[in-house]
Amino acid sequence: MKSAIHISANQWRTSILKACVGVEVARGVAEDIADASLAILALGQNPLKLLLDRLNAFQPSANHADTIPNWPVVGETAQLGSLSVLRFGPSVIDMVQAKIICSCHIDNMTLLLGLAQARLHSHGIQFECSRDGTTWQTIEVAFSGKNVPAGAATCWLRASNSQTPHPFNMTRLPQPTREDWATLQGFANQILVPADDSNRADAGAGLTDND
Amino acid sequence: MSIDSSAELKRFDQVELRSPSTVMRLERMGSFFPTRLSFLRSLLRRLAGDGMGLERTAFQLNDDGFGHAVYDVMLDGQHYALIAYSQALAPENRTDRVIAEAWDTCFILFDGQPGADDIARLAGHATQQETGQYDERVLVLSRANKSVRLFDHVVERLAKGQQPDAEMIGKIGYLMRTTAVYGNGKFGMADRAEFIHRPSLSQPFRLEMLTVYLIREFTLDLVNHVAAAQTRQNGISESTELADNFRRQLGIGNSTGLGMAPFLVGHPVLINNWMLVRETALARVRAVQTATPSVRQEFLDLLQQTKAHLQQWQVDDQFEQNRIEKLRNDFNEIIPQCESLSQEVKPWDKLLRACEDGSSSLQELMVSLILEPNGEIIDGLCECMEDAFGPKLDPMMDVDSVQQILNQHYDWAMQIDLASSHQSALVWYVSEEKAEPRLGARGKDNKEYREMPHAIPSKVQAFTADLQKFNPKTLLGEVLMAHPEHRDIARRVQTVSRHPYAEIRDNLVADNVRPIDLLRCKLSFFGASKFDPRSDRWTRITLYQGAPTARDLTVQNCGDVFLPAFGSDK
Repeated sequence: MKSAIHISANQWRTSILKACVGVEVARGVAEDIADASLAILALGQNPLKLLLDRLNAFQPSANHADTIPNWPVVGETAQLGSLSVLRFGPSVIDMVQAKIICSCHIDNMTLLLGLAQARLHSHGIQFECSRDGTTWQTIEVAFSGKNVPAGAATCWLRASNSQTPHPFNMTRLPQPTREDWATLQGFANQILVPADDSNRADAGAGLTDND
Repeated sequence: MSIDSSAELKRFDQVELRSPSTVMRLERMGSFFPTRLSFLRSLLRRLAGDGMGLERTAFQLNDDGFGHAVYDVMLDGQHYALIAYSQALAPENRTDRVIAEAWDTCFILFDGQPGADDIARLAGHATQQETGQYDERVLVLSRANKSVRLFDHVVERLAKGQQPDAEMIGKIGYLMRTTAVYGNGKFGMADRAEFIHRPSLSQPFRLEMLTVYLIREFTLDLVNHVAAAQTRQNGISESTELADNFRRQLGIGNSTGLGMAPFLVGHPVLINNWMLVRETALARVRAVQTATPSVRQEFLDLLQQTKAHLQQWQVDDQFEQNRIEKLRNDFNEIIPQCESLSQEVKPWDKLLRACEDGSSSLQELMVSLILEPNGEIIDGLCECMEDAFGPKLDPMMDVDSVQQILNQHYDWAMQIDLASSHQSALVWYVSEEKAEPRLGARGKDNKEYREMPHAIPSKVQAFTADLQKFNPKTLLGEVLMAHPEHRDIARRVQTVSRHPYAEIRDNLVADNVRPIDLLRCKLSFFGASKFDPRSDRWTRITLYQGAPTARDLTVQNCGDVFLPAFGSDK
């Protein structure tokens, strides 16, 4: 093959989804994170190292009851405090979609902006981001200008205008290193059940079936 | 083309669509037959319409039939090539299971014309299948095993200058059966998004269907080649080639297990679109006022062909065989009515109504039958079966509206008693063995921890319980902020409100679930026939049996594929 490793968009999405589910991120959130990752890839950035960092740190059993942000009245500005992108990221974008300007200290700004960019493709909603609440730019411009911090950061988000939803341009995606990809697969493999004779029978087929 | 935005849906009169609560039941879905909307049928029409230019550009096989071959086909001015690799396989290694690690033949559908270096390089990957590495020039990956009984028999007969036994050909129906056909970006191959804009490839599973059709061509060439070589080795003066009628009677077998089932749950919008097209086609045909003499005659011919097909359809599985025999009897009883009703006003509607008291199998067979002679008003719908976006969440919908959707579309799920062990008896999970989906008993081996999201009723009930804790005017986004664990089912519920055929309205983890019903539904959309269940979890089928081969395919005969009957005129 042309390169040592070639990962298709479908592989990116399904592997990230499985990896998130593997560490017990809620499935619906995992689906959004997978789409966010594709959105970032479509912008020519590779989010894998940052995602692996968050997957490593994710604590599914932690009690988040005290950290659930209040949902403000539509049209107001919300200051949401410190948030985990793998738990609250999609909900922050929901809030912004509901015409609420949000600020938060997110543990991974790249993935949060990826979630916003994915919403552009699925819903046709353009989002803008800011580091200080005064200077705004589209997500695409932020990524192209290398203005997105790699890790945790304070971020402001608002919805700007709407357009027709359109699929990602998935040609010529960035490719992962073998090491990072293997680490992701390690998380993804956590959804797999070890094989034994008992569950082999659960496939419902004979082991040999020539005709 | 998206079905939502399609003007195609409104081109013809139609009666009311059948309700999703009728159609989306497992027992009915497991009674589906292929239709002229099925993917292999629309492919054949396209290939015939475009004047399929198939060329065998390489055939480097030894006398045992081992080596490689390349078949080049042109669609919309673009070359596609099937590269076939054939190798020796010890009988003890031949298994249809996805966990197999070696196969008689492996295949790649290549985007363009492969060079010698491509063919050589890909050989090492294709024969490893899932563990090989592929790039965007590889469109489809597949493998197939010989039907040893039939392959050897055909070789033996041809090598003696004789044709094979007709009964064996009819009963088995294929020289090889595929055990997997992978596409859409699997293992680094080209993503569907990379080629969906090409006009010939805009329909679901188009390339996979093309691959299987070309594999069929290869199997026919292979058996002739091996027979001719045996003739030479044995010093016999004359071998013969497989006769045209037998070439046509041989399709490609396929062995399909649980791996196909999660697809229907995981692609709700796509499944909706397939179903909506099928139901819209039916509604259009039912609205037709009179059948023209030629259409009526075609229908009457199809009745006889179907009668013969049912007579020849024999399986080992007793449950399925009982269903077939009942269908056979029911069908024979209704044939006289078909002949008279087809002359009346709104003939197709009356024919379907005449089956209403019969089994789901009879009704769905009649659906396929009455669609068949009415291609003129339904074939265009095949352009509406794709889905470019998938499910979408609207966080601004309020709780009251979500609850209304649940009441309207998920009453079946709300009524299930989840406290009953029967209703939560099973767990869908993925094995570490080649990521094979499996279905096992709940409460055993700690599989619940890794359960696939197929227990829709329990998800719906948990979601509903939490929704009721919120004010009806609360936005869904606020609910999901507090309960991110409901995000997937919330998205699904909203999707079903827009796409009513998106959800299977049965409990997939109940102890009476028959996964084979899911398989048959999907396979019917592929165009499969002769379902031959080997258990309630996997089945053999045939594809393209009775279809014209590439050298015979014409616009006139490309539709002659409906429920093949050996020995019929078709």
